[in-house]
Amino acid sequence: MKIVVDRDLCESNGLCVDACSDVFRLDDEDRLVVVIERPGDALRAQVEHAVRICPRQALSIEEHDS
Amino acid sequence: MKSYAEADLPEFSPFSGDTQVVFREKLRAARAAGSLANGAIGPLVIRHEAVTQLLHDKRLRGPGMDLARMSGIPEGSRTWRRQQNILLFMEGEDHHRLRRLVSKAFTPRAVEGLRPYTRSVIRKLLGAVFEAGRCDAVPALCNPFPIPVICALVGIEPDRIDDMSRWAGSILLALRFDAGSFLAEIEQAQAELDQYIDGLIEARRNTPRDDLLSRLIAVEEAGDRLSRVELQAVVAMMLVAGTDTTRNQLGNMIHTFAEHPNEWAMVRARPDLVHNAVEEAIRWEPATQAIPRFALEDVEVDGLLIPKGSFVGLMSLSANHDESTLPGADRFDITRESPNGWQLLTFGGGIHYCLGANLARVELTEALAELSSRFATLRLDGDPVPNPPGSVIMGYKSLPIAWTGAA
Repeated sequence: MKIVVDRDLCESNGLCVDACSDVFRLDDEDRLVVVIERPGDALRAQVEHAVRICPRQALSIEEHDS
Repeated sequence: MKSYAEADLPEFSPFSGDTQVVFREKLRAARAAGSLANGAIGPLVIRHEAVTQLLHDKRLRGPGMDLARMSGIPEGSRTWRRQQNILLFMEGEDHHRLRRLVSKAFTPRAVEGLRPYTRSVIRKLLGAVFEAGRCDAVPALCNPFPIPVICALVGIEPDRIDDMSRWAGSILLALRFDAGSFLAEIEQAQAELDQYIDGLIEARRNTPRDDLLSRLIAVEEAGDRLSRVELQAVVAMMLVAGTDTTRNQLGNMIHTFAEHPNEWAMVRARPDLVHNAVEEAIRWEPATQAIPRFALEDVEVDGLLIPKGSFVGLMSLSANHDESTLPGADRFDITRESPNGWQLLTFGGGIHYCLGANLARVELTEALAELSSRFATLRLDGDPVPNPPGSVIMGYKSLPIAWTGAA
């Protein structure tokens, strides 16, 4: 899976960081950084949770990447 | 499809005067039967799963200006125009634009910098009553706590804190169901606040500082920026959204710990638990019991129809205590690790998710860290008096507590 961020929607609430700090963090200027763009299945549940709780629905998962 | 109104659903009235414990018990019984209950002005959604789904459902919007209309605020009045610029009451493009601009100045890091000052505020309040060993926590600790912090965040001069408290007290009347009867007082306070903010905007335009107002003046995106009226409205919004909520949530947290001496001893012994303890306290006794939504289309829940045009209350209090998604939800447990996929609903969710959630967490963790380092024991010192029935925010009007000092 690949994580996609809609930068027009993201407003750095940081809920994804709480949900999965291995994958998401905020940089020094509070911009969202996806540390692991293609996380393994071990992180799937946490990533899906992060996608679900984003208030802006700015996160999505692309499944069919090569 | 059968309408929720024709079904035999449990009834909840905001005017019942039930204590929080009784209310929670009734909600628990109601959740066993289904996701819906009957409220004063529309259906209430009480199960965690349904609440989280509906928070992200585009067929529902925020309360819009309908609440202002119902509470008797005249269209076109200053109060009406300010509410039109409060994010919770806005939708669509206007909401998206304002939220984008404001959130730039309101990120986790921006509020994180307020920790030391927040700590000094609670320390000073506590210092004034500490030796007495007892106080009414509401006037002594809770009520005076949030406004200095908001003033520091926005960039309001410390010598205007008393004015801000006075204006906040009047402007908050605009959120009552009978706001129309207080219109003169609200309009007067709003006019005074606007005038003061005008002067401050002028000053910060010339000499920016490291504060929210300066950042809001500076934020610009694709040539878009906030107008003078919008800036005034944002400051009014911060007062409205950040005062009553935080002071009641602080009182609720103190109340919860006064009733749970073992957990108090634990958080004292392990300061690393403070962050988690705040999350649990916010879950256990939330200041916001319901998130208001308006159905733009017909919505079906549990096979029952919620007709288009209904006001829907998404009950964060009930959802936070729903054992079907959170095992052991009826236990106050500051060591809790909530299961993956579980969401705290006190701050709402979806596009109106509380923009001040990170600020609230900073305020509450600093308050708990300070109190738990000073009070060896904490207990109730008489009966707490809850806010009057019908209050939008859940909390206490009076909360007598007593403590023994830490060595």
